[in-house]
Amino acid sequence: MRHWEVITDNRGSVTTTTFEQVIKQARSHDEEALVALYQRALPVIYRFAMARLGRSDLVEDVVSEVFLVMVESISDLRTEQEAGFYAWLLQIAQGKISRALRHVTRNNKRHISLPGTQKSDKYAAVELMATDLASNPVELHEWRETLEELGLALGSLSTEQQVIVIGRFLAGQKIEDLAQALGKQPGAVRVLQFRALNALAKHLGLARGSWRSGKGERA
Amino acid sequence: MNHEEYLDRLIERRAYTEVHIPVANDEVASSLAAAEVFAQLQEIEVPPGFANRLELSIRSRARSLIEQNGGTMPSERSLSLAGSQRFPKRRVWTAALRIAAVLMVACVGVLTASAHSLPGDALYGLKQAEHQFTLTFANNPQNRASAQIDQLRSTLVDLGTVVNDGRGDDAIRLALDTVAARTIACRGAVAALPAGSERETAQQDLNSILTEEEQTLHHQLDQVDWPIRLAFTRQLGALGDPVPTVTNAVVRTQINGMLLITITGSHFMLQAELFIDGRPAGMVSRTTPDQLVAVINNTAWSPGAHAVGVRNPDGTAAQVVLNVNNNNHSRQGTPEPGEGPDD
Repeated sequence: MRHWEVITDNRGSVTTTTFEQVIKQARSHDEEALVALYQRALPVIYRFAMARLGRSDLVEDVVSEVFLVMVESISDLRTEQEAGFYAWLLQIAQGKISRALRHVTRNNKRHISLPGTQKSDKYAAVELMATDLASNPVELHEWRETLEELGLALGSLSTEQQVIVIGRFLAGQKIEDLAQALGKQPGAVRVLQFRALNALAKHLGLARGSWRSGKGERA
Repeated sequence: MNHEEYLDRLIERRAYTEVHIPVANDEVASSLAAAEVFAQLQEIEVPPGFANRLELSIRSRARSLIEQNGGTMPSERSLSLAGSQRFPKRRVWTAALRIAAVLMVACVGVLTASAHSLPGDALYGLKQAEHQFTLTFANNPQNRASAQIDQLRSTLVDLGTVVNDGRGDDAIRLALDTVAARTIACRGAVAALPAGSERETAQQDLNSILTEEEQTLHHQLDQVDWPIRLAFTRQLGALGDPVPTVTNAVVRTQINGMLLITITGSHFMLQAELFIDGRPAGMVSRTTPDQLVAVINNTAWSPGAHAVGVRNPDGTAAQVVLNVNNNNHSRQGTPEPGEGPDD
């Protein structure tokens, strides 16, 4: 069973609490348990939303909505497993992201952008803390393009595939845990992962061998 | 091993971050390349300001949900992950909440203590203020009358306690004054009710508590000093009891050197006693409901002011003050039975 390291007081004495215990406490709207879940999942949901939306203002709105739904609806969560929690939260996030994208699409239809400005505007607000990227305009531009393509590629995946890919690469979940959360056999989840990554590779235009030549470099 | 398992093993080994790994299958290679790009998402950092704001929102929402559900706030403890940020602002809030909790506990303690305080105690004023607060916020005349009656009952208990505990005259007098004031207020509150069943019910409650008050005062008459006895008698008179009153006293010197004291008033009972300055004195020779005649030794009477009183067998008493400079004098007493040098 996976354990969380928990600080129990300001002096730093440490005990451990299982994820299962935290979920159970959160179901009764225990403030500290909810905050613990939030702190655990925030980077995952934020990165997922950023990949899909690319605009920090939209992302912050969506992420806020996701976690407020989490607080409101945690009692509906039927699992105590971390992978199941992520799957549940990612499905909420997918719904919020889809709604935000529809809203953006409607606004774009109403407002005619000047040629060449829309793409750069969308990702202009992406906040990358990697200083090596921020200090290198060329790499930063390339990263923004990659992020935009990644967002589009992710959007082309099925809900299950998105949950698996995000759970695997952003939340660090094991195949077996994801399988349990999704009610599938581990082999089936591996197949879904394989297909999802293949689809991503196609959308990103990755060719065999190009990925080995350097980080972020594509054919 | 199939391609899916092979890919997963490479992912487990985080092989997509390694630059030169020979992968025979194109699909596996492409998938690893996609995984590598995808893993770059982990370079995106969450803006701390946004994270802080959202955490505060979550805490606020959690608290409001607990309040909506009628539950109690969970005890303060941290379940945050090791290494996660802990904000100074939260500590300030925690300290403020702890101070507020201590103050609240102290207030509750003081209020609880004041609820058990008695006349003469330091917290009795707070208890009175609580009573007044309750009356102020009674939302209709019936509730106000009910509250007044409850408070009269409470003050009667206090009076009984201070007498039984043998507290000082000041504490007993304060308790009695409070009972007297509550009695007047109760009567006023019930009288203010519109005629009807509610008023009848309140009147029954009032009659019951007034009977209780009467019994309490009578019961305790024998446990109190003379000045307090006079005050108890006065309150019994206010309740409508037939208590003695003294309106006049005349002191005359007899041929044999004795003094003849004639006290005029009302409600004197057979076997009533003469009291001079709060002490039994002389011998009663004749008693009627309106007059008491007694003789005392001349040596027991010195020039100056003296309180001349009557005590009935049931313990009620009244007196009048005489200022005597010679052996043949009389004085018109006040109708109040409690008047006297010690009073």
